[in-house]
Parts: sequence; C-alpha cells; structure tokens
Amino acid sequence: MRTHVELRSGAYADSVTLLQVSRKVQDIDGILAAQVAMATELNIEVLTEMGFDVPADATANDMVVALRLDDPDALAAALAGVDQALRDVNRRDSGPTELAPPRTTAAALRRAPGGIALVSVPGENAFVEAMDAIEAGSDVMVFSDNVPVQQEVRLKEYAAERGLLVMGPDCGTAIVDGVGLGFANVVAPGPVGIVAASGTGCQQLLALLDHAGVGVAHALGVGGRDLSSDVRGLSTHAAMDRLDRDPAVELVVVISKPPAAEVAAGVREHAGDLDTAVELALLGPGQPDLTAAAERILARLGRPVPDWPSTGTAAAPSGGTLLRGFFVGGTLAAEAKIIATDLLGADAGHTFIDFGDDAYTTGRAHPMIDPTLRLEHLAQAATDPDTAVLLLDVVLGHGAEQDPVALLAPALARIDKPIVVAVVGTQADPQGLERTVEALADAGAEVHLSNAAATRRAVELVEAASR
Amino acid sequence: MIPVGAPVRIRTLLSLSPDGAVPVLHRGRDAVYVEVGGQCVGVLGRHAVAVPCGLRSREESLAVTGARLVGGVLHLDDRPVVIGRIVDVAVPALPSREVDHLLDRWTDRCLDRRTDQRASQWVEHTIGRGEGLTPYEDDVWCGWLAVHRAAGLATPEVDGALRSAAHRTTLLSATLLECAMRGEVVPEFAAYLTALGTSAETERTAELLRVGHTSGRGMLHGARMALACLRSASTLAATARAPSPPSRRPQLEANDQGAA
Amino acid sequence: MTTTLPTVVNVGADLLADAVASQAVDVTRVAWQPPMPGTAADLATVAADPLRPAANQRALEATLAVTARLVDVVPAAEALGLQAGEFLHAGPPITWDRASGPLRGALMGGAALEGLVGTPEEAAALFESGSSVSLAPCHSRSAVGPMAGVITPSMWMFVLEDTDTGRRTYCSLNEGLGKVLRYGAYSPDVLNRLSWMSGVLGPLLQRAVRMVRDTTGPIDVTGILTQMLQMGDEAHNRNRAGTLMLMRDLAPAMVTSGMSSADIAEGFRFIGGNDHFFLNLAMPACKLALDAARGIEGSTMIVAMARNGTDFGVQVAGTGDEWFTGPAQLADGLFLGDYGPEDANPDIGDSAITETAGIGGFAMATAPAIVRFVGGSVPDALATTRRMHEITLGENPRWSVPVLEFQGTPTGIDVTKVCRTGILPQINTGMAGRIAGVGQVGAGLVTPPAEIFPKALARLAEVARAR
Repeated sequence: MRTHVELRSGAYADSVTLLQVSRKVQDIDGILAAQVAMATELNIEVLTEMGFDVPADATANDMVVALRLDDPDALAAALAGVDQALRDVNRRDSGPTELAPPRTTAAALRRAPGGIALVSVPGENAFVEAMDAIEAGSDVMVFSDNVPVQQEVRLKEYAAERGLLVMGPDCGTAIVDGVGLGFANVVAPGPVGIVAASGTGCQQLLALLDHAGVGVAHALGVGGRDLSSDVRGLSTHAAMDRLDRDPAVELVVVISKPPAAEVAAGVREHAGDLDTAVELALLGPGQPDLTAAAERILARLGRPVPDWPSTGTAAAPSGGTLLRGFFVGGTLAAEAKIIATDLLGADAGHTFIDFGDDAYTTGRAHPMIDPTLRLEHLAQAATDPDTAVLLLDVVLGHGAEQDPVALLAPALARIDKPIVVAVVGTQADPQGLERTVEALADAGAEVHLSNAAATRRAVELVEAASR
Repeated sequence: MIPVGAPVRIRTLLSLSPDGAVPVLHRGRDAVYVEVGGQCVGVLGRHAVAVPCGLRSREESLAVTGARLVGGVLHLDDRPVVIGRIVDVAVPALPSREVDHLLDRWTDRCLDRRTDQRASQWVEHTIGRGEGLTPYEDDVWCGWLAVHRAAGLATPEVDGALRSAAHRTTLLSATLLECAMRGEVVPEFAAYLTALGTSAETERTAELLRVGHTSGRGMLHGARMALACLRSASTLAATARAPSPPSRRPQLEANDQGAA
Repeated sequence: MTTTLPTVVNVGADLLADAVASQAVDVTRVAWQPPMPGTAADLATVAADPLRPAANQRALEATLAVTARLVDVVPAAEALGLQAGEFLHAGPPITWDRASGPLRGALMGGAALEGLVGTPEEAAALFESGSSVSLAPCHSRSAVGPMAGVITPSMWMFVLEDTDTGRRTYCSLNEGLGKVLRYGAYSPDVLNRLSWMSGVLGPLLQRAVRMVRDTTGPIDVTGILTQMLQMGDEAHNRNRAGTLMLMRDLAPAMVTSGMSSADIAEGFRFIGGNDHFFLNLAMPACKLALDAARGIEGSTMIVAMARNGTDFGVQVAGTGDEWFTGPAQLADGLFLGDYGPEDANPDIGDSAITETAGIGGFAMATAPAIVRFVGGSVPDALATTRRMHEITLGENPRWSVPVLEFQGTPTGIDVTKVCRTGILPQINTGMAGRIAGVGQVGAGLVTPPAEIFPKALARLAEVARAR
C-alpha cells in the first residue's frame, strides 16, 4: 500500500466537477481511497489526519489529489485515470442538431417560452406578429411604426385581458429587467421605474439619473400614440400597474408630451390609486423640461442634485443671427425648440430639425445609426452667414452607431462657428461616454449632458452674436 | 468577443485596474476565475452558477489559456470580454409580511454567532472546511451573512473574524464571503428569500439546493440559521412591522440590541 | 431581481437582435418574410377576430379527442342512402366535362358495375347527357375515397364511429394494386374483382367486424395508427404494419365467421397481399377526427384537403362546407418502370385527409423508408415534419415521431400560418396515369396550389368583418 499526493494549480472550476472527479477516481482499480479537494488549511488538516502528506507549498487555490493505493504499481494507471476523469468532466455532449430558424413569432415563442417579443417588421405586418406574442402569453415591444390605430387599440385591449404589456407601436426604447430593447442605454438597477411615450426623452432621463448615481429598474415604452384619445393610455395604465407591483420600484415616472385632456385626467387618477409614488413629467410649452423633471425625481428620492456637467468651451460667436438645431432625437428637438422659442420668440427663423422624422428617414436608416444626412446639413449650415450657433444631440447606447465621433468630430473641427452638443449617454454605454465627450470637446464643441442646459447655452450664444 | 452582463462593482473594479497579465486561478468548462486587484473575478458560461463576483456570458463553454487587462477590459486569450449590461446582485429585503411564524421552524438551529468571541471561534472551526471549490462551511457563512443584510443588520464581529481568516480559504470563497458581507447573492438565493411564506417557497428552495454541488445546500443552511436567530432579535420585529417598505439597498444599522 | 433571465424573440431588423445579443441575453431570431401577396390586410382582420384563438383551440382539442372505432361494414346503399344513378367521387365538386382520365374511367366502370349500362364504354354518353346520373364529393356524404374514390350503391363501406358523439365516417374497401377501378381501369377483371368484393369480402368482413365489436369491443383504428407510426408507416403511402395489425385483430373472427374455408382463405390472401389495405381505414379515421372541428365559428383550421384529378380543394372549420379550389398539381418524385412525368395525371384522391390530420407527408420523419420511394433523403424527411410544425396549431399527443424525440405529429393546419409563411402543406402521394386504367405510374411529393389559401383567408376575413 502506498499514498500519493499531488497539487494541481489553475484547477477546475466547479464543485460538481470536483466531486464527480473524486467519485470516478475512487472507482479506478487499485485505489482504496481518493480525495480531490481544494488545499485550504482545514482540508489539509483532514487529509493529514487521513494519513496523507500534503506539500508545504500548497495554497488554498490549489487542488489536491490524494490517493491511497493497495498496489503501488497501479499508480501510473491511477493518475492516468485522474487525468481522464478531469477531461471527461469537461467534455460537453454535442447539442441538438441544427434546426431551421422559426418562421413566425408564434413558432419562436414555442421554442423559447416566456420570452419577450421584439417586433420591427413593416407596419402592415406588425399587428399579426404582435398578436402571436399576446396569444402566447408574452409581453411585446413593437418598434414598427405605421401601424393602423384600430390595430393598436385591439392589440392593447387583448393584452389588457391577458395582463400583458404592449410597448409601442413606434416604441424605440425600453429596458425590462435590466435588458435594453431597441435604442437603450446601459443603466445600473435602481429604484426608478419609467413609463415613457418618448424614446429619446426617456434616454435623456436615464443619462441624467445615471450621472446622479440613481439606477433604473425598468423603462417601459408605450409608443407615441398611447396617450391619444383613440388609444386612451391603455399601455400607460398597464405599465403603471406593472411598476407598482415591482417591490424594487420606489418611484414611478411617466414622461410624455401633454396627452389629450381626458386621458391626462385618467392618468392622474390612476397615479393616485397606486401604492408607489408617481411623478408625472408631461412635457410641453410651460411645463418643466426633462432636466427639471430629473431634478424633481432626485428631490423626491431624497438624493442630491448634481451640477450637470459641461466640457469644453464653444467658440466665440462671430456673426449670424440664427440658431440651427440638428437632432437625432425627436423629443430632444422638441424640448430645444420649446426652450429657445420661449426665450427668443417664435417667428425669428431659428430651426430645429428632427432627422428621425419620417420626412428624413424614407429609404434610409435612422440617424442614430446613419449620420450622413445630418452631417450634410451641418456642413451647409456652417457656411451659411445667417447661422450664428449650431446645436446638436448625440445619443449613445445599444442600437446607436458604434463610434459617433469618428465622422462627427472631424466635421465639427472644421467649423468656426460656436457649436453646442448634448451628449445623452450613461457611464457604461458601449460607445464610451467619457471618450465621446472628450473627442467632441477637443473638436471645439461645448458638450453638455443636459439637453435643456445645452439649449440655454446656445440661446446665450445667439443673443451674444446679435449684440 | 464575449458579451457579458456585470455587477456594477466588477465593472468599476476592472475599469480602475491597470493593464497587464492577469493570473488565472481556476479554469473549467463552465467558468474561468481570475485574480484582479486581490479579489477573484469569474467569467461565467451559461451553465455556471451566477456568482455575484462574476461576469455572466451565454457561452456554451469556455476554454482559456491566459488572461489580461487592456484599457479596463478583460481579455481571455484574444477575446475581449465586453460588458453590455449591468446585472443586479443585491439581496432583496426580507419580505415585510409577518415572518415570525416562519422563523419558528428553525429556532432549534439558532446558534448565535454574533459576539466577538463566538465569531472568532466559529470562524476558526469552519472557514475553508469542506468539499468543493467553495468549501461547504464558507457557503454556510454566505447564506448567514446575506440574510442579515436582507434584514438590514450589520455583523461587524463576524465580518472582522472572516476577514482575518480569509487567507485560510480559496480566493474565490474569500471573495464570495466579501460579496455576502455586501449583500450580494446568486439569483437563486434572492428568489428563495422573496418566496418565503408564499406558495413558491418549496420550488425556490429546491432550485437553491441545485446550485453547485453543495453550495446551495450550504447557503440554505446558513440562511435558516440566521432566520432562526433573528426571530429573537428585537431589531427584526421592528423591521417586520415597519410602516414603510425597506429601501431597495438595505441601509445597514448597527445591531446594538443583539443577543449577547 | 428575477432568477429567470429574460429571453428575447426578435422578428424584424437584425440590428435589434444584435443589440440584445451584445448584452449577453439569448435571442431567438425569426426568419421572417412578407406574407403571400395581397394577404396582409386579411391576415390582420383575422388576427383581430376575438373568436379566433379560442375557436382554434376548441377545433384542435375536438379533433385530438376523437377515437375512431370500426363498428360495421355495410353496402353504400345502406350506409349512405346512396341511390341508383348516384356516384360519389374524391375531391371537391366536379362535372363530367372537366374530369380527368382516371376519374372518368372509374365512373364508367362504376356505371357498368351498377348495371346502368351494358359496357363501360356506353357510360360516357350517359355521363355526358347528365340525366339520370349525379355526381357528388365523397366528403359531402361523410365519406372519403382514395384516388378516383368512386363510390356506388353496391360497394361495401367500412363504418367508423366516434362513440362519444355517434358521428360516423365511411370508406370503400381497397381493391389492391395494379389495374384497379380507383386508377380508372374498368376491364372485366376489374369489375369481376369488385363483384367478388361485394359478394364475398364485404360480407366476410361484416361478420368479423360485428363479431369483434360485440365480444371484445370495436377495433380502435386510432390506436392502430398510433402503433403504425412507430413502425415505419406514415398511413398514406405506407400502411403495411397497419394492414397486418388489422388482420391480426380480425383473423379469429374471420375464421369462425361461418363462411366457407375457400372464401375465408381468399379473403386473407386478398388482404394480406395488399399493403395499402389499411389506407381505407386510416382515411376515414382522419376524417372522423377532423369533422369534429367543422363549423366552429372563427376557427381557421383546415378540415379537409382533397383532389378530384383536376382541382385541389380545401375546407375550413370556420367557413362551413365551402370549398376553396385551384388547379391540382403534378407530383414531383420517382416513376415506375418506363413511365415519366408526361404520363402522370394531376393530383387525385381524398387521401390528403391523412396530411390534413397530421400524418402522411406530415409524419415523413417517422417513415424513412418512404423517402427514397418519393425521391427524398432522410434529412429531408426530418426537415419536412419540422417545417409542418410552422403551419399547424399544435401536436398530437397520441401520434408521435420517435426520431424527433417522440414529438407529436403536426396537427391542425392553420390557413393564416400558410399565408404568413408561404409554407405549403406537404403531401406524399401515389401518381395515377393520365390515361384511364394505366394504374400507378409513380410516387412523389406534391403540395396544394398556393392560391387557395389566400382565397380561404379572404372568406374568413369577410365572415369576421360581417360578425
């Protein structure tokens, strides 16, 4: 009889494995006893008591193989057996044979039950796929637009019967249980639950809250038309209930353009019935902007309001009278227009283009993915003597182009006029918030996290240019 | 590249760590564990236990020779591990339903470990002992600690004793003990606590038991011991009947009313 | 926090699926294609029909719940009240002038068999004039017939019954291979054989079936189908195991039937020599099950697929007895002897009722032997059965396919899924010679003409709108 003890470092990663190896090794011919364990102090004590001699240089991260053999000549075979057992345990059976991909949402949900469906087929086909999801008991996000309103209503009524949520149609952003759908920023989990009838409006809030160190549990999009009098907020109400039931959510935030009056009243009433606190951010002329809404949210959570950051300095104004806004986010464009109009007057000729609008996206990808059209307009405006100040947004997050500064920074660097940019992003966004901000500042732009602040700064510069 | 979900803390740790080679401590089909900044960080495949110190991927299996950090991004051989999502690893607050009657079940197992002397004794007799990559007794401590955090209670004596003895167990286990001290748990543990006293409790208990080989059993053991002892703690009674729900990340309160 | 990681089903832009995958979340990608041209609006109308989901569920359940039992064998005059001059045929309604060779030949033979004319050749004039003879689909009288499927009053019929409801379906006795009436042959040999079948086989089977029925209980045909599918039969082109099991169940009662040994022996020889004998039980068993779904308002499930040699027709649960028809197709497969594609008649027979019920071509994966006969490969067979799951409502828990891990056969063809995916039901069929009486020229794969499905869908949409 003899014993054999050896150490293996970089050992195998899970306990099930170690135990399986132990068992297999014990079954090898000629082995009386076997222990395969991590070389912690107490385990070494146990092994020592069992009569094994553990090397002094064993560390807790090493795996110990201790064998007691009744036939000393069996050692080589025994060790080979140990090696084999370790290899076997790491082999994985080949998976199921290649299946053709599913052809409908219904077929896909049979394969992956409980999944959430994300529909972006053409508008005339979206309803059928979304109904598959509701029928299968799954929530659905409808990214598609141009879905007839009667279909939207039917879809949402059916979903309500089944206790499910329809996010959309025309919903570009959602975060469900930490998973971003569509154009979505990477956020830490936290106490806020957002119900949003606007994608980029939601994204601005996510960015500001992220900077303030506040996480978001869910951001449920409801589609641009949900709060109209036709649809009556069907998804908004369902989303509010869903967030109310989640114990992780301490504050529900509803953001939207002002809905139809009777729909707004319904939302307020429902908000009053929830157990969870609700903050309504119904944007529009005379209403608080997104940044003010973020500040209210922080106040209600008892969190400090940080200084919203700005990096870089805009060039000094040098002529021209007009503010030219070029946006990829519809709500950001609308917010800028409201703020600027309030301060500068309505008919002064300032422009705020939303490149995500249908007029600019026929036959081309959304500007958050394809920057070409906006860059062309930017170049033209830069050489127009009437232009005083340029105002842009850059929206980061999943779905948006991987490196927005690659083309934008050089383009801005060629411009002499003052440029203000709102970079809407979170610390963990894939494009890198910090490097994006720095690249644009290096190119001569003044970069803000808050679109409202960026707009006010642009207005300041316009006023300075006129003087 | 390997897309992963990561806890906030790990993301921050990696982004602040310097470039260079990174030691691989354990490698297996389902997970790889490396050492970064003195702690253990895992890169987990889809079948691995979702430990709170790990980056969670959907890889079927992992085969790795070496690892390094470049610009805050971990690389396994040539493949960058890219964090696409942040995962929540926080233990949920204990349900604010009446939990007293639940805890009756385990009072006989109450072995209060919280005073200085008891803590050091218990730690000495247990840390690093047992089968598995994370020794069984360490997992018991993890369950015990996590339940205390779920109840909003600090355990300074035990924390101190565990930290002093950390070198006596594997780095992975020591890291997981730190996670538990911070109230960070595997998803099955969180689900188990949330299900206490509901019709889902049996199923969630079974799911927890299936974690690892003995880890789940250890965590459950520790959880039940903690729940039993907390029954007698007046602090818990006050928490359970508190009018407002506990905050999402339980604020730690010193347990100055604990049993001696 | 949730334990289950949400999974996402993406239907539409790959970019959105990529964005989810980059978050380490499983995504199932639907291989979506636009639906059949012109169907988008009708698909939406039918998808919106509040009756549809429950109606389809009821239709499927009703079909799956039926057990078909062999309760009797009686002449068509008695079973169906068929009068002199009345002829039933396979497929949707048709007139003599449009009928193809095999159907005309079978009708002529049938007329001679019933003594309406002296020789089959004289029958052509009889059918041309149209007086004193009438044609109707077998389906219109709760019956089915293979190939030409001609039924006349003196032909003996299997009687199958659903004991729960008392509903019945019927089918003629299978003549065997070669030159037979169902392929349009009408020679004296054919007529003599038919006379023997009416004079000896029918009565023999009647005695045996009744004896079994009254002692141990009627033969469970659905149960035989369950076993057949595990023995390499798919019940359309391959019925060997079924035939043998039927013989086993009837043998003792045939022996003690009281008829002469010579007749009994001839009966056994006849049945035993015809591997397709069980087809004439498989077909009415399938019809009995599908008929349970007829008339369920709002259901889009197909309850019959049938061909008359000129037209292919389908009937749908939610549209009553209406037939939706298009040109019967030519099968694609292998030919016997020197025959070639120019020798084949368009698709003919009620035997597609097997595919309608989820077996035959739908269960190809369970009958690898058949694929070589129809010109395919084993992977093709597996892929076909899998593909049929895309267009069906559910799976049959009793009829399962071993090689697909005992997955139930794809059951309940959904008109909407066919229109959405463009996947046509796959039928395994024998090919009849175009010239009457030539017989079988080959076997192969065939589908319905695509156009019938939009027609059926349009009618379903019309009915839904009118409600």
